[in-house]
Amino acid sequence: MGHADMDDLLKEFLAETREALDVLDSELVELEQRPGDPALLGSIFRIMHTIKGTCGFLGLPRLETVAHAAEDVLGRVRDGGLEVSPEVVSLVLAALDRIKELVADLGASGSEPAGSDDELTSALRVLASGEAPPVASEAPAVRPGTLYERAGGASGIDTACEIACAAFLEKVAQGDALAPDMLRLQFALAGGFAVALQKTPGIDIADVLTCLADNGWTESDIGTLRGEIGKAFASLAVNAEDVTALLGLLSREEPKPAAAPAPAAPKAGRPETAPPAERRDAAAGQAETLRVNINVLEDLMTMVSELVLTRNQLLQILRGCGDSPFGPPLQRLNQVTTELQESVMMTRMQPIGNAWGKLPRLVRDLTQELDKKIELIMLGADTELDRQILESIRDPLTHMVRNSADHGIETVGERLAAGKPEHGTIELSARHEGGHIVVQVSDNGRGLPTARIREKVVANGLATESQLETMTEQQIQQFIFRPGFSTAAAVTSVSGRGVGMDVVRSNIEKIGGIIEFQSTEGAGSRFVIKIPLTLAIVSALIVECAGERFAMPQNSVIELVRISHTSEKGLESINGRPVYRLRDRLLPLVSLAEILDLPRTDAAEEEDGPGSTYVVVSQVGAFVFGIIVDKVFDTEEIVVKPVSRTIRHIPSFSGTTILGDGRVIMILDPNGLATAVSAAPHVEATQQADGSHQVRGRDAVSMLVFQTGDGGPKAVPLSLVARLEEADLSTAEQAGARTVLQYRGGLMPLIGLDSQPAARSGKHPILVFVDGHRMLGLVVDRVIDIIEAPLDLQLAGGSRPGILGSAIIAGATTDVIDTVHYLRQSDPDWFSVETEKAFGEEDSRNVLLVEDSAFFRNLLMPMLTLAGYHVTVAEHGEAAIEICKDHGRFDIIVSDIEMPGLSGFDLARMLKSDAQMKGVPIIALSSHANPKDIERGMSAGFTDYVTKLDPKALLSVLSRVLSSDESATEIAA
Amino acid sequence: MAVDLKMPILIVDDYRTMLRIVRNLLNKIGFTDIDEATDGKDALEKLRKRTYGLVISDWNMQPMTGYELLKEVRGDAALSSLPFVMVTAESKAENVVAARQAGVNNYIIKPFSAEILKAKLKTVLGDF
Repeated sequence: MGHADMDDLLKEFLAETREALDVLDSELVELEQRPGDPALLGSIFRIMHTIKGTCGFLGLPRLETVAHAAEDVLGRVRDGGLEVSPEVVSLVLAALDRIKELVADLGASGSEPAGSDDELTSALRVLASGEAPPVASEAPAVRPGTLYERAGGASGIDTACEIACAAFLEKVAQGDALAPDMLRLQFALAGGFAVALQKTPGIDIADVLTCLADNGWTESDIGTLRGEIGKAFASLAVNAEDVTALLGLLSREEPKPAAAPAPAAPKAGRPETAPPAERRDAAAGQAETLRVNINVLEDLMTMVSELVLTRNQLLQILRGCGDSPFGPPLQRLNQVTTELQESVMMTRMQPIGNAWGKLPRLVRDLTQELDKKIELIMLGADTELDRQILESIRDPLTHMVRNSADHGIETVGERLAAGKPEHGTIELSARHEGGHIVVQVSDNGRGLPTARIREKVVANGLATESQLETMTEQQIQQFIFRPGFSTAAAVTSVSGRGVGMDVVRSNIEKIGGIIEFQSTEGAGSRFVIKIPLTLAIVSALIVECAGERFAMPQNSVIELVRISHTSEKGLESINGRPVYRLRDRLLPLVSLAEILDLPRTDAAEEEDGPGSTYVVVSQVGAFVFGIIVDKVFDTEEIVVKPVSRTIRHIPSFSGTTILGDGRVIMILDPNGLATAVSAAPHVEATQQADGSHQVRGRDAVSMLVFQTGDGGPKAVPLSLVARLEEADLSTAEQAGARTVLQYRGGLMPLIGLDSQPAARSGKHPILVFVDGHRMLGLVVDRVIDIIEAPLDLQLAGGSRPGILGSAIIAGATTDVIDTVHYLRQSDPDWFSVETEKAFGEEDSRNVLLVEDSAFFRNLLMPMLTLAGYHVTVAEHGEAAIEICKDHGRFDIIVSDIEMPGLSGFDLARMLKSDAQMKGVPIIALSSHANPKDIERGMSAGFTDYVTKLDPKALLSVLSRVLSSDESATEIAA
Repeated sequence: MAVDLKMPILIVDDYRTMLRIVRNLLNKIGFTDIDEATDGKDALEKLRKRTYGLVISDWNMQPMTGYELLKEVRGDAALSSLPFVMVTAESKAENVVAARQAGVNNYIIKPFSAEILKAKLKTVLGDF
């Protein structure tokens, strides 16, 4: 086939064959599981068959031979002559691999590589036959340039024989008599030629003629037939020399007597057997499809992108025009463009299953290699996403599945020993969620031992022991995404390919996705990947900073906060870094102008008054942060264009786009910005200050350190502080002996630690304490920092009123103030939680507080006392037991969980097994409040669970538990 | 009798590459009006919509095979005399005979050249 379009044809063949091969891979693995499935078998056979058939046209003898040998094996299986065993599947898979290699070489070089497949094909043939090689007339090993090939191969010889037979019958005018046999004659001739030309054993062409002579054909008949055969070959463009050689085959060199009882011609043809029924799959209703070159689709996408931009431009103009006759048609254009854009995007969508095709094979091979039993479950394979994204996640997914199979799933022995079913499961699932696709890879293997991660983290210097101490298990697990991290004790041949999870993460993040990892030791691991549906056109928020506009991808924007001077809450500052208390969360902020080093302008201030600014709250992974910008405009559909090479190294940008008004602007990369934010020194402090975000290690607490009056720094637990404000004390008013400030539509009393607040003037930071509708402002001179302080503070007793004691915080002796003292001072009712005293309970309830930390004892005891409880303190679990025995009944016990010696859990269990004490509710007090701890606490017998740093919550829990206890008693009574 | 090179021909195969190969070969012979179908069902629908002078169909297809297509065609009064050439990679005589018995006009074994195809078509359509 020396056609000019050969290259094209070859390309198409390669593309089509690759697709078919991908299907084959997974189907073969399926076949191993369902060996009897005829539909599956038929489908596999057919693909191999088609590859073989097509290769012949393209002059690809190696491919053809290998496909043919594999097809024969499959044919034998299909006909029931061979059972589907792992050996059979392995060998066919080996053939498949060879075909893939050949196809790959073919794709790279345009021709089949030299080499031999004899070993493979003979192994396949042994499987296929057990007897002689298959039908001789087929060409097992056609070498280019052989006479067989020059004669046209099976097809050419067959055609020549057919023509010759037809012409012969016409010539001898015996048509009627011979007609029924013509087909047989044709077969016999064709088969004979094939045998003679390929030197395979069987009936030779000379035998055919001899046989004809034996059956009463005359010499002249045979001569005529020879002549016709010669002519027929010649008519098929076989050259004269070859025709002579072919005719030479029609007689034997050595004279052959007619004695040999040659079998009748029909044997060669075997025409009497029934036709094998072609197997048929249940006809699946296929939607009409059309294949389109990918470049055409890309071009379409580009053009639609341009159209979107033009549309945006027109809309922008229209907005400025008020009533315009172009309005309605432009609206229509707008709508149609959107629909067109969606449709074109649809054409780029591919089912994610396309990226999963190779996985069953991968897992299967691994199970054999690693001697494990693994079942791969794939859910949501038809979930569609942009092909560009599909390509980007193909390798990461493969890597994760390989990891799961290699490191995650245990060997059969290990699983059985652990009481698990011997089959491990790897589950791959995909689903749409908002504008995203969520892909999960999970396994029920051994999980990732956190202890091992810790060791590794410390060994590699990624973090120190003490840093790890303050982290949750989940946080520690995320270290696997750090560069150079690998937990496999020994690098195995399977997973140890130099690709770490860091590469996986960066690949995912490159396309705007996020990846998270969860693992439970002994129960398995799970990767959750969230990726956008498409990259080409995204919805973006247009913001302005220092007079420059930027696009911020909408999917990473959580909310917008406008902060003006008149807002009740403003920007706060920790360590000179801006933070913002958004609801109950301290949000680290970065100024876009600062990151990008833009000159500050007053643009925002002109319009919205001084001090007004916007915060774009964004999320990258679990990290939430705010970006300070000057202005916020509309959201717009923007077309993502790559960043110019010269500025590609700047992490803050992910692309460029053209705005409706024609301006070229940069698209901000939330990942890059997040890096800039987390590099800022205050973030750690902010995260630590943010109780909801981080669970502290034992006895560590965020302290707000401030300076006021003379003397050293003072500190107060941050969790008690509701807000940080700054107010000009000259606006404060005197109400009797109290200084009050108008705040949030009410009057907030102000106090100072050492002097009357009224004695000060000018702007001062105010720590605001809030309890329901009550507020109290503590005026201080300067907020120094928020510091994560260990809580085994050496508290110097409570001799000075208002001071719990002093502690060394950040190297300085710091007075820890007794908040309760001041609150109480300002309002005697503070902390008197509305306990249900409707029953006229006058006697105070007996509370046993078990707490080993002096700090917390000193913090909680006065508070509980103030709230009207009678508090007994035990300094450790053992003491609590003693006290219970000696003093008998308590209404409720509040116990720390983590104590040296008898832990809170142990204490709870002991108390619950004590006949006298088991009815007493026990509240767990802990710095850890993760769900696992809570569950553990509940099962140990705790009634409720309260975080140490939330005294309000403790009071309300006490009140609730005691009142429900009461009503329960009443009902019982 | 002269063969009309402009007559519509329907080629049926579920492998795009094969469709393209057969189309190329037919073009080389001189045929110009060639339609494609991707399986027996598709072909049958197309055959009932347009009058073709010839069908060249692959044997082994999904969901409807060439053999089933052939039987449908021969069982349909309007199509029963339509020239039908079967393409197969299997030169197994029993298949060919089954096809002959089901009424195929000729069969052709893969791979084949334009000359071979032309020679086969001559036996079906006459000289051209």
